[in-house]
Amino acid sequence: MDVLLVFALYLVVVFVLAGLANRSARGKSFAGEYFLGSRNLGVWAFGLTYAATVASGGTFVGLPSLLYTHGWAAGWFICAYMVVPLVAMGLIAKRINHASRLCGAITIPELLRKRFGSDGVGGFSTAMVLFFLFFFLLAQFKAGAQIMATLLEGIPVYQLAVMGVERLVGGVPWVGDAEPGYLLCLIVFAAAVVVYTAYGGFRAVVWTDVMQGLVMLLGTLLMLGFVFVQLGGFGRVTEQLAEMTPPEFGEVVLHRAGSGKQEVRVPRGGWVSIGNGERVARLAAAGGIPAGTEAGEPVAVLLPTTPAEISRVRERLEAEPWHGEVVAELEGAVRGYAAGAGERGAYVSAPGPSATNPAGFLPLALAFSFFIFWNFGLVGNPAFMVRQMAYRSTAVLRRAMILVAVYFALIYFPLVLIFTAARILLPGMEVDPDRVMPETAAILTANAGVPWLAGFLVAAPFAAVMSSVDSFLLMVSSAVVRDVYQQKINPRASEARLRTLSHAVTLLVGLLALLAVLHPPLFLQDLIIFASAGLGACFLAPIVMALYWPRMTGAGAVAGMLGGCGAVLALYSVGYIQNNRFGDYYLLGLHPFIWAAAVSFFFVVAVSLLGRRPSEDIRRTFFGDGGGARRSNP
Amino acid sequence: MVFMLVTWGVFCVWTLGYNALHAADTGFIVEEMVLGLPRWVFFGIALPWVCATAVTILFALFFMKDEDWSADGAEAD
Repeated sequence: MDVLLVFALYLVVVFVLAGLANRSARGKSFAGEYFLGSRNLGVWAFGLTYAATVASGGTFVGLPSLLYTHGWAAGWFICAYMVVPLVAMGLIAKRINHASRLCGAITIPELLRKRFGSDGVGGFSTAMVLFFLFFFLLAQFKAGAQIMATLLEGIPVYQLAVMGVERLVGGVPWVGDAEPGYLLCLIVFAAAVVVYTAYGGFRAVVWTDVMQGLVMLLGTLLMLGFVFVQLGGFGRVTEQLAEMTPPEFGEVVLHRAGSGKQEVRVPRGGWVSIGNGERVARLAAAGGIPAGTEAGEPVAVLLPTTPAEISRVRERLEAEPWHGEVVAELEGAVRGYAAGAGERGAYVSAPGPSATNPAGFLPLALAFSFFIFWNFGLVGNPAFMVRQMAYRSTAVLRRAMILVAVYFALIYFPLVLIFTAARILLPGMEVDPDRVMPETAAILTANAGVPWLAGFLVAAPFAAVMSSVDSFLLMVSSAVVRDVYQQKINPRASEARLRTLSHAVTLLVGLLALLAVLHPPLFLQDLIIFASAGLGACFLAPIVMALYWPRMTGAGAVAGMLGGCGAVLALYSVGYIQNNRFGDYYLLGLHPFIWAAAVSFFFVVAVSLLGRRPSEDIRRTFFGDGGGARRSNP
Repeated sequence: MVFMLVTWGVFCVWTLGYNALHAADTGFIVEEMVLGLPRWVFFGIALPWVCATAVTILFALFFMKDEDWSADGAEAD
């Protein structure tokens, strides 16, 4: 219950900040304040809102699951963040802020529309923002709901509420098929984030980002301390990881071990002993034995192969409610990892173990792809661009770069240390890898004798998710209200009407995202990488070239966006056909973003050169009389 | 722009180059750990991360210029 109180306190603070932001916005121009905070952010607000938006559910849920599943190779996967503050902020932050001030743009589509004097460019970019950001929202909603579900799992009030939801939605198409605990948490999460974003606007998002950024930092450092103390230092962790071998997959049939005849249920994630107890298995789906029968249906399981892991699981088997009532027998052949099976040292080396890819988790070409992707994908993401339009002065930008660089070093590298070590604490999490973070927080605090602190530690990833969702919601809302309604439908709309419409759009998008994510894909990171790749490929070339190349035309911008979007969708479609599930296709071993960004750059340059030169007025407005960037160095 | 791209390139070559040569060895040796980390993680991830952070700080402190945009009509909302 203490956990719930700490977590509730965190949510109360978020709502108070939203209320204060709403009060502070009174008397200011609605659109400029609501969507861009009146372009007046200082060092802490700008630095931490940027950092907190970048550090999303992917950072605190998706990345931990990859680190857990693939070991130190996943540290290599994420290490490009070392230069993100310099590259992502340094490349365009000055120019985009300056350009948006010159033309009074509040959103990215508006900036493109004014830069090229074309409604078509603005409209097309709005469509691209809406399409890809929606996928981003889905991933974050899933992460938020999962974190909450794990945190509240053992609390009686929550379990009662889950039963209530189950009764309420049972039989409702699509909704009723969702796992009721996940559904309840999804509704609570969506309601909380939609309400404070709609009510407080950009300033509320920034203020809560600052608070959430600090929560993330403190939570990460506390977890690092717990891991270090509880596992006996990183040397000891590395030694144990070096002994580990990847698990195997198979199917078991549960047989009755006792004399009872009643139904026995084993939930997903439950541990069972196999045969004479030599091996143990974790159920990847719920299983059991129906009343009056001696055995159940075959159920998929995960089988640890490291002796130390097996003995740790055996020690806890006696505490399982079904212990002594069931015994499992392997059915059919056991399947090993495609890369790293049976190899000691797989978790402390690269390319890292992989269940599906015989080349391992991170072959060199893919490592190269992600070193490009994490940096330039961020440069091209409109949600981060819009933050770079909101700082007060270049002095603020300089100091914020330092803040973000230090912040990322203190967040990302410790996360790598914590979640590579999580394998030692939590065996068998491959059955539900996106729960690694909250489960780790729960076990670390329980071991330390301070279980209530789990509420605070889990608030860190929850903060990460919220701070990204609120930014994306606002981005979608601004795209509809500012770029569609105010530009196309009703340019003379009153402030009150814009406010009402903004609130309504935020609520509607939140509701649609909630419905769409009732049955999400297994790996959160899949969705996040797809959305990031799509946004980055669509906007990187058009925005960077629009800011640096006076000769670029509106047709070039549309061609670049179309080319980037088309290439990403094509490569994901090939991936889907090849793997029969949502996933990317690595042409020549490179990530789709690399190809899509290259296609986009090519189209921007080629179509611009084939078209007529842009008008003198536009060139003079954005680049000055000399044709160079107007008094704005990178 | 050139500085950012060159810096990105330097750290890309460092991490990818070092790790391509040293990270694939699964024959882990305890004596080769550095500060409790596998040697390739220390020299191929941790050390470049520290250096990249230092470069960013130095760039922001000493090389990036402040600008006054008020003279060319750039206004806040």
